[in-house]
Amino acid sequence: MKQKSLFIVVLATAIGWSGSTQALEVDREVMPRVTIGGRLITTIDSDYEASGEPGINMGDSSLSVAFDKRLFGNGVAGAVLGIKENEGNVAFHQMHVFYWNQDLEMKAGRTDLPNTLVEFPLVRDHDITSMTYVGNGSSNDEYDQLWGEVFSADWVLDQKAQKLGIWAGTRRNTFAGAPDGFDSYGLGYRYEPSEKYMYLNRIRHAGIILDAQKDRAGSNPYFHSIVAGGEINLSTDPRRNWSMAVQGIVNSGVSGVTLADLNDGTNAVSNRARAKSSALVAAIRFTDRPHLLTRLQAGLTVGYKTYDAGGTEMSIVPSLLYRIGQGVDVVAQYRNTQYSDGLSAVDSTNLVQVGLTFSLGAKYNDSIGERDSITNQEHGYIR
Amino acid sequence: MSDKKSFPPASVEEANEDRSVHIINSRRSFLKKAAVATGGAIAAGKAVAAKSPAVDHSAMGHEMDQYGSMMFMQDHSSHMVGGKIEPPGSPADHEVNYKEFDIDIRIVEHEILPGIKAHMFAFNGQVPGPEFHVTEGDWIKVNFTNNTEEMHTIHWHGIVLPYTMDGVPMVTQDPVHPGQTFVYRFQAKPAGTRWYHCHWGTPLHANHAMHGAFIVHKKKDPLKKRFPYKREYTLMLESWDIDMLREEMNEILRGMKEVNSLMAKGKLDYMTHGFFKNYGEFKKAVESRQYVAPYLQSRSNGLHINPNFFGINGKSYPATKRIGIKQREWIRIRLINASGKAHHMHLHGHDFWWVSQDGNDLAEPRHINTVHVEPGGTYDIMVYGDNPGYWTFHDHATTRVTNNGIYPGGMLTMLEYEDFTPTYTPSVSVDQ
Repeated sequence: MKQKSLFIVVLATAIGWSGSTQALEVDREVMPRVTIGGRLITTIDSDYEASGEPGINMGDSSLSVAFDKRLFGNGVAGAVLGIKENEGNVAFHQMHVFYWNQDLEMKAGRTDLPNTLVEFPLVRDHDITSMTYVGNGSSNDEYDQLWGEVFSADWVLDQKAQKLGIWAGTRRNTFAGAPDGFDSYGLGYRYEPSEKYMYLNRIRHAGIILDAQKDRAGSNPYFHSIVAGGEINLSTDPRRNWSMAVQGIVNSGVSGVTLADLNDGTNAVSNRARAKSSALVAAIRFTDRPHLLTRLQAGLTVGYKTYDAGGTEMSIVPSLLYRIGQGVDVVAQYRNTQYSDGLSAVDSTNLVQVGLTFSLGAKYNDSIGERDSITNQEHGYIR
Repeated sequence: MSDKKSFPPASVEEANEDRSVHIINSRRSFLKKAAVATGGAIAAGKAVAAKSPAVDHSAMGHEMDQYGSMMFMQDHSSHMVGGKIEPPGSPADHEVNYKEFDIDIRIVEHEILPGIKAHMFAFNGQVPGPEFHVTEGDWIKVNFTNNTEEMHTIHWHGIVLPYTMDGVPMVTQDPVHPGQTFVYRFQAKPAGTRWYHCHWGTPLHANHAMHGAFIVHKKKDPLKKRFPYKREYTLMLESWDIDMLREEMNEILRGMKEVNSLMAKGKLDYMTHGFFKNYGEFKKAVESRQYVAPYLQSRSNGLHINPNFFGINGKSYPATKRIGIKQREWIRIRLINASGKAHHMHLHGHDFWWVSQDGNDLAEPRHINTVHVEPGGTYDIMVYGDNPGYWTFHDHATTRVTNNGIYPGGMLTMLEYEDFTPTYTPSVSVDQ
């Protein structure tokens, strides 16, 4: 749901909410926990092969607010509203309700598509998305590759780190004859220890997921992708930590996608998402935390993708983050991507980005805590 | 008495019985034998206590009979894992007859009242910790074992003892590390209502659960002449900010997992641990920005403690246990304020005698019905059973007689006569 005007959307949402609550009283004595999270990222980009002139890039900046409350019985329920900059406009990338208890996590609404497993050491989420996410075969919009309408349920198998999840969703379809209702399904297993053990466990996280996506062309049924990956600590030193992340995506694609489709100036993004392909991305990350306070992160990410119809792309992305305050980072990144078989008008592109990010995270009225807190996981769960 | 026997709660006395250690683990005979076996080595140290096998003082550049911090040793972290620390300052085991106690610290789920639980650091898994009853002049040996991932000490509040036993981290001793046992030895003096608490991270540790009563009885109590009591009760006054407790405890444990990981590998340097050899070194580290101190505004908005539950002996009303009394009976109530807030304890239907403060008998007892109990202070009162009935005893700062802001609750209990026929019996209401 991309909106041109934030004001109109907020107003409409507010009216909708107020209308829906008229039938029942809202308990005035229970303030929800309010969690505000956001990141504003501004980089000066210099793309040598394109304009040749540096420009300002604010892409991937976002602000989200979550509200939640304890329930009368077991569990916690809440809602998240999040906005994100999208090519000069504001889009709701988060608008969902959620529920969790000791064994289950559920959410429904607009949110992240469960189509990736690893966060690589990149300045922005949407850097090299063609290799790190299962693409959307029905939209060329960059953000439609990352978000959609999702209903998901994850069972926490051991009440700690092992999650078995299923989901059904709708990816945004910008083509005529778009199917209504769910057009994507998935299931997966993820091993996700609490981030509190990030530097201590050998395996930071790992998983495998299956993504089934209905093709935009009526003649084709679903195409499938398998995503597998994770990140391991090469050293478990929380002061000077080395880790390695790897993720592979194998896409069954649909028949009939040609090299020409991959180079279609208008529909290249979606056509590449529905093409039979394989992608492998690997990264090395170094984190320096003197006095156990993160001050620097350096990463090197290398990605390779090959299409059965012909053509390959390969990216090499060194990045650097230097922390100058809590949540305030100076960032720099260089991205070189090489194409073969005419996948791009040029054989390679080079992008240099230097900028500043400001991240915030604030909680108010917290009487809930976290499901995966250390005390809950190691000393008895308090609901 | 177990919880099963005391349901519904009968009296504070029963609660006290639950927590009392009363020389639970005297092992003097064994230790005497051990002392004989190692007598030569100990004798060489003369009046200095036995040295821990885990402590190699020579590595610190000190003489063998000196004792100092291990935090700044080159390989200090390898000395911090496990082991037993026996500081000097008190007589060795063979020189006096110690009454020996074992006490540990662990994390428990503690129920303050039905529906409200919190994780707490707790001595022997109890909130408050075990209640010591000893006699003035007794020699006390406490083997304190840290069974958590956090660091702790025990400060013996109001006891006059060698400074190496006072339990103040980095002032009188190193904090007791995970898995370590620290042996406190001292003489129980002076007599009176004393207490003990953790002195590491005091707002979180001591004020939230790591506290207990340390009662030093006189061989002959002169107060009994004027107030011939036979029963006595100890009431530890407490307050909990269970939301701060949860968040802070998890944040500490997260950090300590990293610290302990480095320590186990022998890679922990003292500055990473947040320790400095002296003020000059600390000042230099902060001013050079090498060390971003946690109190700086760039690191913290501050720790805001706003208690939302108040209690007595680990429970909030109506889960608090009652105080029993009979007609024409004197009882002694020892009030110990572990909460960090001032409390104004008022007893309905009676004037009582305030007889002691901070463990020391007042020159002249005072006849009052509200006693102001300052943070850290102990106040003893004598109550005479001359008005049969059910009488509330509570903090008169009424916001502390609430549970999560809802009245009544919190720091409230009841004086119950056990030998009268009531015409109205109390019930329970928690929403007024």
